[in-house]
Amino acid sequence: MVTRLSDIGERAKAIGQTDRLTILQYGLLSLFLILGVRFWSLQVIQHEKFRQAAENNRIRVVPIPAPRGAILDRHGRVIVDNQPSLSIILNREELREKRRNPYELVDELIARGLPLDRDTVRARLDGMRNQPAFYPVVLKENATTSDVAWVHAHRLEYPELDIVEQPQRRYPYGTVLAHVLGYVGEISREELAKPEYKDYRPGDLIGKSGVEQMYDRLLRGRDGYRRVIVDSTGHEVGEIESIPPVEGHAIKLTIDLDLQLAAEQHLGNRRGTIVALDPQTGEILALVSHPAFDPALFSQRINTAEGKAEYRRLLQDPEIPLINRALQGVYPTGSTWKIIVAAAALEEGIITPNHSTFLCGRGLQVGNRFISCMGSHGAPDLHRAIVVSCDGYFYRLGLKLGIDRLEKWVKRLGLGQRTGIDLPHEVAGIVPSRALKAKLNPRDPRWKDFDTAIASIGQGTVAITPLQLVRTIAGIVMGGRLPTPHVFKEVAGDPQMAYQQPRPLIVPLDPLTVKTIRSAMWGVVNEGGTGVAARVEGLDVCGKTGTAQVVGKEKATGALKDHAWFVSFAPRDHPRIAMVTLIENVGQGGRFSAPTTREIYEAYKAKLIGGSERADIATPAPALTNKALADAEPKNAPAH
Amino acid sequence: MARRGRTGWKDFDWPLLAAALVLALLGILEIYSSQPQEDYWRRQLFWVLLGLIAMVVTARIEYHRLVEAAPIFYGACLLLLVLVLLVGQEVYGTKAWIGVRGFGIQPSELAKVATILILAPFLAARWEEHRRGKNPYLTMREIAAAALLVLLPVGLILLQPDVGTALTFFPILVGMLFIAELRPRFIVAGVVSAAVVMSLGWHFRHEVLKPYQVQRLETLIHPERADRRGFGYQTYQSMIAVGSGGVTGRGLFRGTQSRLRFLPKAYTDFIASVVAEELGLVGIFIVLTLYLFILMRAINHAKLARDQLGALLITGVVSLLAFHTVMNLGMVVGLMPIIGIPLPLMSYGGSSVLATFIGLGLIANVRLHRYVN
Repeated sequence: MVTRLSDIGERAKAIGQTDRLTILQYGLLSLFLILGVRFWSLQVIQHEKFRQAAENNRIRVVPIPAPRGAILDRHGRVIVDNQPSLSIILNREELREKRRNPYELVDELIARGLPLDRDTVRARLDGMRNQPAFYPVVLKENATTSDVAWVHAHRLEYPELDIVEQPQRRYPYGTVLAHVLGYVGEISREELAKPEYKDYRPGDLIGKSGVEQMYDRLLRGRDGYRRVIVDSTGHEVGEIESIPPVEGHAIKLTIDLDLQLAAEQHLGNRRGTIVALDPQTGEILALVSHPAFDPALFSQRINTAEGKAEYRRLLQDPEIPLINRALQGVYPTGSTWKIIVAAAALEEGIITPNHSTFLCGRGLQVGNRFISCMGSHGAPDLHRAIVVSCDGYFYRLGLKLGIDRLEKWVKRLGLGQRTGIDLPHEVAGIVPSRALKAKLNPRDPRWKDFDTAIASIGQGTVAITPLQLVRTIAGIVMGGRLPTPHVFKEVAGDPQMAYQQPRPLIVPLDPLTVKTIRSAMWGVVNEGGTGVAARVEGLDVCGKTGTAQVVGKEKATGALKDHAWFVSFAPRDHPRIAMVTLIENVGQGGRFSAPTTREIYEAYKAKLIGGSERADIATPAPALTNKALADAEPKNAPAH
Repeated sequence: MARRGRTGWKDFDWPLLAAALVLALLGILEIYSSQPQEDYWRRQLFWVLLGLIAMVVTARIEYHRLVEAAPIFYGACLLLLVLVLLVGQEVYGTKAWIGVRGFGIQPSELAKVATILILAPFLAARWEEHRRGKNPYLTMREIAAAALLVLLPVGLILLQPDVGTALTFFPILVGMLFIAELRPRFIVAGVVSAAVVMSLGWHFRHEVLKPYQVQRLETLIHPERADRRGFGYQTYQSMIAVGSGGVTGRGLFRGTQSRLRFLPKAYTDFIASVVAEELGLVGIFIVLTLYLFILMRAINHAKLARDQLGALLITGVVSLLAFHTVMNLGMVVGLMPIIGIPLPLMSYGGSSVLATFIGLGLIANVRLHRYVN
């Protein structure tokens, strides 16, 4: 402990400084004293007041639902978007504090004149039982001004009620595309139990069918919420946090709204379906299924008495408007099937393009039965037989091909199987085979020549979807390449998130087969064949008519006529659009479906010529290959 | 070699360390209480452990040697403050962090310590000069020079903008100037002019301040009447938390105010509200006593310091800690406006914890080396 002299001097001089440090100490001491007194005052003197204030502090979670992403057509035009609507919500936590039963409260509200749908609300309360109490329950969406006024007027009695704004689906085109879009609805208890919905909560809106269902993850976004403090009268006094919602992705469909509207218009009020697609990519350009439903029913009216009645009517309607006829309706194909038989026969070498003549004979005697042809066509070759749709020819060709080879080709070409379209609930249908007959007809299980003959013209045990048919016919004329049909194009603004085409179905076909079939289908429309009504000046439309006999009770009573088919593509030499038109119970395909198809091609042509997409839609010279078509891009290459 | 005996572990300021540790652990406990689902408390534990190491290391390096390195430290902090403006992470509208949130650092916290380290030798040297002359007081020019050293980091911090943190530099300057022999006239003048400016400011508050700032101030006078949606809301909620705690509190992990998140960010600036709510007046008095113990003990060390430099270093740290503590607790009980100043050792925040422990290390350092020549 050596202390230097200089240190002593320093200390002596520093006396004033020690005083300053002491002053600092006293200063701090008094500040702490003030703090101590303040704490004492708050925690002892005013304790009771603040204890009550703490009791009165109530927390409330106000949801901010995320708007679902818009749905656009391929050119970015809005098909579905959102509009704001008001909802009445119930904060259950406050009820619990008041020890009130929410079910009784709802009955009381109804009794006092708030128009709620009792069953809906009860189901929701049931669903929310296992959810944290601060998640509110929606009592009523689409609240009217008088509902809102009621809630405001009864604010003091029912502070647990609240009005929030929620986005609601808006369908500017009404029923147009209803089956493709699908609809949204509240998630059901069964759906909640499924693993794919594990991060969803009761009360969430989800896509229930169509694109809304398939692309729900992209469309739905993420809800936000506000956590607010309310006082005992339900008045908001502060906000703790606010998490903004994240809007769902807008998505672009492959649908061309102009073509869609044309198809909707020309199908009109008749029952049936029209599907147009791009045979190169499988992109669906238009898809109509009629009768349709109003998707707004499900998002706007379903929880009202009128809405429920409307929905019941839809379910009970014998015309089954809720099914998407393009991929859920199965039909015999009628004569459109001849294209498939022809392709199979050519590929199997039963006939060649140059040696393909069979007798018509006004029909054929098979065993003890005579099955007739609708006309007398002499002895046509394949081209002629397709152009005039000669049944006699195809009975004989079919018998020569045989059911086993036919079945092989039908299955290779994707018929009787789901196409894999990105819409839910597609059905597979059935195609003729020995096994199928044995199963369907146990009394007469053996396959007979008669069955083969019938199967060769698309009757009997053929029941496939219009979508399958158009995909297969388009695939044949594209040389055996069958892409997966799809309606989703990409996430708007993010072409990185585009449709991922699975590997297309490839069925290698002889180019001569393809050329022969294209030419025959061209003949159907342009050489005075059965499809002449589909002829469009300047657009080499090729097609095949079909008249599917309706079998069973309806037919027997004569109440219902045949289904009219027309399957087509255009232009002949490098097809860019393929289409199927099926009109139920009107009669012959050539008389009913072919002219409807023409109208849509006219619209298509007008759009191509009018728009920037000028392309080789009519080919003056024959034999431009697909390769040449690809080389001809870009589109405004000089004419040659 | 003889030094080692006196500067050994035996003479380390264990009581100071113990008091700081109790506060820090209580802080971690209450951080956990207000945010049980988050791992804030774990991160805080990490920073406290790092802080302890930093405190011991800071205490063991003789403070004259530390001060020699001060210009480098100060320069580095200024550089970081520039850097944070360029590449910093923006959190709640303030660009104050470098690095990942949670484990990022806040250069402004470290700059406080750097400023103390650079001011102390400057003022100590002036004091030495004046001691020999007949006028013992600091001249205006010297005061201006000292102020400049403070204004550099303050200016950069104001650009972030973080007014609250910038404000904490002035108590450091005022405290150190006071100890470095400020002319009594200046002190009187300072107090009077501060009073005048504040009165005028209050009178013309609507002209000088932004509406929300006026609101914050008015909240102090009438917390109950203030708009509870806005800034008054936080003050009022904090007062409810404190008041509802009563004498013994609602019990650990039972604070409804903090746990239900009526208090936003209870784990940072309002950690004392959580203590008051859960542990009551008893808990708060323990906290107040510990802080007072640290500050009183530190000033006692300053009195015993072997030279002016040591005394000034301690004064700087004490001013900083005292200002933080008093302002934060004042804010919690509605005596001070809410300016976002953490409670040293207890509030969640790595850089603040680290800076505080380094400051405590400086205090321990001066004591440890009080006899050494």
